[in-house]
Amino acid sequence: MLRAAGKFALIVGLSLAAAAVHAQWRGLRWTSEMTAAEYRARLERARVIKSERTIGLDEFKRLVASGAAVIDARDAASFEESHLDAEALGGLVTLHVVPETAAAQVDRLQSLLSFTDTILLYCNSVECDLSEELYIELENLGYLQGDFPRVRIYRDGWVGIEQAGLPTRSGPDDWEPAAMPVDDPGMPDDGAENPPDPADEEP
Amino acid sequence: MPVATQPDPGATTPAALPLPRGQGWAWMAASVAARLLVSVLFVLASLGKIADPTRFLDEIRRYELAPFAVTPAMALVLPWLELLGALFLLIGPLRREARAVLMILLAVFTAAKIVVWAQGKAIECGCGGSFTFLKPIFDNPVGILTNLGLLGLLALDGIAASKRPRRRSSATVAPGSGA
Repeated sequence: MLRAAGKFALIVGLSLAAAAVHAQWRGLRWTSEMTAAEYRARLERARVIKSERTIGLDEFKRLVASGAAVIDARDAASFEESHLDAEALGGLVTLHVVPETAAAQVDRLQSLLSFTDTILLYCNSVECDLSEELYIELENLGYLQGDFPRVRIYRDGWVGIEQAGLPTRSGPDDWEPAAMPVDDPGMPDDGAENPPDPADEEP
Repeated sequence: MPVATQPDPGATTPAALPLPRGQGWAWMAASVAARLLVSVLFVLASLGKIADPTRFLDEIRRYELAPFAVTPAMALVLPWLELLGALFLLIGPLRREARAVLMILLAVFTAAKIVVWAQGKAIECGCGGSFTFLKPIFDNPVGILTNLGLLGLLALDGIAASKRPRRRSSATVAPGSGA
């Protein structure tokens, strides 16, 4: 009995050791950085966003066709395997942004506003909350000012895109503002690395 | 020589008596198949969680069953318990203990799934982490049946292990016993 308990403890101990190495390597915390109350408030905010900012397939297709940018909030592997080909639907581009990387991509997201004021988010399915989390992150970063840019969440996510047979493509997100087509109405001058912010151009 | 003539207590249980020809192989095959299936699923599920621990942490929190403060530690340790449990179940000398670890995990996971299902919460299982292809078999309500099936396979392996004839040490084998 003692021997079995020892073996059991060995498996648990090895798991703890592996988790410790993993946490150290990835810089993960063993304790929570927010309280349960803060987490619940965030969940409640996500519920409100879901109810106010969610759209169905028809509206999603209409907005993409009107030139909106699309953001895929799933994990990087899923995005690279396949994502919506927004350009094939008349949209601007499909970017890959997850809540954790939003802060590092604010400049790139800011440059999107030179081309469109509508951004559509999607994640895995109707059960997925990554889009709402990304929305909250963009709010916290000050990227969203009221309803500008107009950010909407496609309710059915990737599952809905596949079921609707919308065009898809694979590969990483390597979009840069300078890579926009020359005939795009919002295209900055050749060689311009950072397109001007529309807010800066106002008198 | 009472010691020499005393049969091995582990070998005298009815389960350890020689099985009819063919049954031993059947049990062994069932045991190997059960362990293989359970191990492959647990390895895949654990690697998916290890690859995306933040997502798994979020899924644990959405269940709202564990104390909030310990959820980060759970998200770190549980995938490694699953991975090592699955590997030891398949290859190691710690098979019985690994089976116990996995059965405890499955029992807890299944109870959690049943509770959130009864509460009507439509949350992603988080069972496969970033391996979303595992979702169809682990999300509720199918996930409850999957977990019960895996528990059944581990129980089958346990029964098969108990039917496997045990080796006797030379000191306790009675002369002429044929063992």
